[in-house]
Amino acid sequence: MVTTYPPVRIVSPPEFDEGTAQTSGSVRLAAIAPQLGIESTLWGGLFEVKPGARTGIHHHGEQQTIAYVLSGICEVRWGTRGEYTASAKAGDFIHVPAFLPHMEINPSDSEPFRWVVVRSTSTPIVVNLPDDAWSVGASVHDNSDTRFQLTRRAVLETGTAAVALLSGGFSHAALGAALPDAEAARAAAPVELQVNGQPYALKLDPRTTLLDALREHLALTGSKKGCDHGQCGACTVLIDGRRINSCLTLAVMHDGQAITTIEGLADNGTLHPLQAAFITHDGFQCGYCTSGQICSATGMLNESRAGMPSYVTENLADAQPELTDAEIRERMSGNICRCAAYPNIVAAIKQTAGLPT
Amino acid sequence: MKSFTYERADSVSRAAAALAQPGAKVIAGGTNLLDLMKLQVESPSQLVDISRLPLDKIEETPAGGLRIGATVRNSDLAADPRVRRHYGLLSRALLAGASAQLRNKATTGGNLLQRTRCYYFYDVTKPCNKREPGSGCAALGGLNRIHAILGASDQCIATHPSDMAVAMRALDAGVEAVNAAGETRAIPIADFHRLPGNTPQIETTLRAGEIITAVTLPPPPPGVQIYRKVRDRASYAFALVSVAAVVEASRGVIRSARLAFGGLAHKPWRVPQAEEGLVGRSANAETFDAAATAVLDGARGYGSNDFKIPLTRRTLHAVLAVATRT
Repeated sequence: MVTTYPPVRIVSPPEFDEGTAQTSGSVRLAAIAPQLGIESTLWGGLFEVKPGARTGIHHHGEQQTIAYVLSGICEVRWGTRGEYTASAKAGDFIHVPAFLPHMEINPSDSEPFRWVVVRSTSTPIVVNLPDDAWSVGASVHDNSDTRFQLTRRAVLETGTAAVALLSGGFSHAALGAALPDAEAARAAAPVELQVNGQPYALKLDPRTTLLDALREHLALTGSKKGCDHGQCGACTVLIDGRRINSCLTLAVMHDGQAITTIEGLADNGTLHPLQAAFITHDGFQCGYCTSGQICSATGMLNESRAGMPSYVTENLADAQPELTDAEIRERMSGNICRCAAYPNIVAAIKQTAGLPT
Repeated sequence: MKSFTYERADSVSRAAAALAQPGAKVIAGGTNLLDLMKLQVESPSQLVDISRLPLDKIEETPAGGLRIGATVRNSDLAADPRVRRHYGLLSRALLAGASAQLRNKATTGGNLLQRTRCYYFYDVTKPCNKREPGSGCAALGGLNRIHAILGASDQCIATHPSDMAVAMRALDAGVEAVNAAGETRAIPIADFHRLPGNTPQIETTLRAGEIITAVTLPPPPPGVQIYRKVRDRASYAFALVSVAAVVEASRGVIRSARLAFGGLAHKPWRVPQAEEGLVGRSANAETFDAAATAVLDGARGYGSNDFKIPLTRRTLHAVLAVATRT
């Protein structure tokens, strides 16, 4: 049986009229996207592909995607065994049509190249592929296909690097930006963040929250965005040993301060006692709130050791209030767990504090 | 969030000068301001960061009270040994508010200036005279469970959300403010917050370009100090009703009383007649009830908050019973 595949189109600037072709990438994208029926979704996955490495886009049904080649030259391959190819260079848009289940974008040069997903009707799955991807020979329609090496982490990491570039130099360098360059330059503020003992020099829009700086600019995705309004605690980090909601503070306000995230708690590969205790006591189910819970509990134990009282402390004059279950629950009330792992979280904290569980 | 320029102030006077510019706002802890900026309820064009100014000290005053710097964190103030020992009411009120993470950020000055949690103030698709003067009040005929029963107007029935301010009202605190010229002004906390009237968007008596530098507490008052907060959850929720009480009683007779209420009005609520009426009276249900009646003089419910009237009465009963127990 011969399977017919819709062709991948390489849309180069000359397809547009003179004026449009000369303007910024975002204007050109604005021109191409409606022609292809992709207007609504912008997704900023950026991929830097080194010679020998491979990337691919995995599609479902009517999904369509537009990729953009930022630098270098690449070979685009599709078909059952990658039998169809086309070449795309910096400045080209790659239109991945509907009903094309899989395609690859690979280096065709000894130089690395970079590409980005600029529009898609829904978030495409972008995968890093092993060298012998096509040689496995399994059907691309088969969802059990192992050759895509689809790991959530790989996809997430690539996606994170992408967002960093989108919010940094990428938008106005390559695709043209919503902000004119001069305005963007005026808005960006230099910030040095000291995260987990490591200095990072960044230029950030002052609106960037500490959480977004950590996740999207430094790829430290352990701190989670739950409510983004200081109500859930998933974004809890420590600043100079004190727990705060990183979603409700601006990164520029923490220039030079010592920030500890969940990534910085383990000591050289040895889990922090709280991390180990959360595992022992099964202090989570889905795990989304866990990094916030653990950072929060770290700060809470610091506060408790410093003798700080809580709302349920009976005697405020008590210089060292006992850490009862009620105290732990009150002190941890800024961290919500939708799976309701609370009893196990309390047990993990008690174990870490050296209390009988 | 709308775009803004960011400036870290290196002195109070510089901060005050920057604040005098239209569209400028001070940021310290930012826990309420950034929340509102994300929703575009607030959209300052300039943020003046005062979080690193040396306003973070708690000092004893010659009069025997405390002077609390404007950027002292809520958690540090609650944990200060002098506050715990002599102003337990304030410690309790602070610890009753928000979460530990937020208290580690939120400041003394910022707490006084926080905005109401009225749902319609937060929802930019709804009319709100506080957010957009003249647009109307969606809370009047809407869900008003958390809203005011005292001192409201037909323009606004929002409440002030702070616990700390209620304690400070009972303690007769003073708010210290400085302007760009370096002039310091002391504002009694009773006069600091305003009732909504026809200008609910004006919430305090701070003048343009004035920055809060400190809150001062007079010497600790004699008597038992209690902060009782009634809310929907056991922790991490705003007050439906709260009572801050300082009561002196001996042999079953009340010698003096100060009572401030949260969750009832656009500002911490205090009724001198209710307090005076308690002096010299026996500590019994009849006395407490008379005080509650005086506090609730003019109270009015708006539908879903009608329950606050009996709840205030009962909470005051409970607090006075504990305060006068010998």
